[in-house]
Amino acid sequence: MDIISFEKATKYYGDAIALQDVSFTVKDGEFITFVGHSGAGKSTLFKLILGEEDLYGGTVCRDGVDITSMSEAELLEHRRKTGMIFQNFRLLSRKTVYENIAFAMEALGYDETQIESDVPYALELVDLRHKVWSFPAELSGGEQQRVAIARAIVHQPELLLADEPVGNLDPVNAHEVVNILKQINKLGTAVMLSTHDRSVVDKVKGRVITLVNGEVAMDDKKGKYIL
Amino acid sequence: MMYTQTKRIFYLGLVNVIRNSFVSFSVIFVMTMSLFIVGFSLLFGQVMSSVTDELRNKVDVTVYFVPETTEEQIFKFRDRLGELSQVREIIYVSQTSALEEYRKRHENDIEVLKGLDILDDNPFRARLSIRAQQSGDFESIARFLENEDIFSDNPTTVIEKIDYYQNREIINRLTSVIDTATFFTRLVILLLIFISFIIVFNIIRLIIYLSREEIKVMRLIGAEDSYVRLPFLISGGIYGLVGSVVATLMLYPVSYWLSPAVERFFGGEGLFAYYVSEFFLLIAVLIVIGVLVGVVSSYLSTRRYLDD
Repeated sequence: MDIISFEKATKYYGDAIALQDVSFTVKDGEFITFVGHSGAGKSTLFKLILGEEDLYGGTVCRDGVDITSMSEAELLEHRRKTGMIFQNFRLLSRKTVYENIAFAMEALGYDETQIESDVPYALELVDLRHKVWSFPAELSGGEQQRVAIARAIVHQPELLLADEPVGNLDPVNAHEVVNILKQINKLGTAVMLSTHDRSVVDKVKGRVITLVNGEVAMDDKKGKYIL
Repeated sequence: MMYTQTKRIFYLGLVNVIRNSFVSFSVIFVMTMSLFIVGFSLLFGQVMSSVTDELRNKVDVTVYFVPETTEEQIFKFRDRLGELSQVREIIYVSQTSALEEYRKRHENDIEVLKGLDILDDNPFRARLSIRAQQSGDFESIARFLENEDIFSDNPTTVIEKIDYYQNREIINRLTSVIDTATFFTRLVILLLIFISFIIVFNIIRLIIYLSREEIKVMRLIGAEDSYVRLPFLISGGIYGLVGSVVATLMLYPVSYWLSPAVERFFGGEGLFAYYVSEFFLLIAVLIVIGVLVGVVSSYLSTRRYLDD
């Protein structure tokens, strides 16, 4: 079953092309890496999936439903089934590690018992149980990104979007984050990872879609790419 | 579920205020200052209002009756006058009472009392003092008195004098001063409330602008707009609540200190007396204004980031 499908998706920012006739599908539990230089359209792709941007042409569907025509409630539901990791972490600075992760569950209406059991599990997964009461400013870049991953996966989303998650990390932390993403994928979550880092792509192995100037230049299941 | 979410929203609102202590302190400070000015204006407005009321109470139209008029006739006349919607109050003073009043007023002035004793008749007249609902009503009351025909036998002979015509200019001027003072007091209070609202609104807007990234992340996580917005409204309400309580408490020493000067200048009761007697009303009004300004400012500021 296709969890995400792009069909001739086209997006402009003013006169500048962000995406041009992009078509591909993502299956349940799949791991896809998107590679391309800055401005290739990787972030736009994720913004379209989250319904943050409108399309100029074509369609972007979640489980067969066009995201651009979703109602506010449907869009919320779609976002709740999707986890998102950003390059700059985007943690809530005035909340502790625990609260940052719990917040995602609270916002979705989970009860306290569930939160109290799931948050430590997510923190265990990213190996951050010892930093539970720290604030984001007290953590290293790698630790902050691991908190962001925990927040994105704590409610067990069907799809995880990771937009340049290792862009601000040193190689050691970057590889650690990639390992965590692979581990999450093994648990059944479909992962869409964007990067311009060759070492990351080589480590992931698997399907890679290369974007060049907003177009799909290559879609290879064996991990070949152009960069 | 509903209870849990409500509890979380209140908790988040409170945590926002506590963790953002420096910013919270700044907003509460500005809120306190603004509400202090509003509270002071309200107290001062109360002083002005009592002063103008006092002045207004001193203004009346007095009808003096010729000595031959019977009390029955005067009462009939009074009842007829009482039916007028413009009339607020009528006070009857008989000839005897008028004389007694005069004697009492001059009880230490032997010359005056001797002078009265020399006279054979009571020189005072029975009178009706008429107070109007509005300052502008005196003219129509005076016109009514002129045309009143309840004494069909001889209407003009029972009324000896209506003092409105002698005092008309003073009454009109006083009325105009009272009305202008009341108008300007209210205008200044409204203006201060408006300015306070603008200042507080902009500070809260700035705080929420600083939280715009947080709001965006919350939305991307899948939080409902109300779940994102309500903690900010709670924080805004807390700023207003704390600000209004502190402002009310600050008014205690200030009104106490200024009270004698205000009393000397305007007469009547001082600021402090109003502060004490109207304390609960004052704090309630300031809380309502403060909380309302905080909540509305937060609502308008978050709307920008949520309703797109």
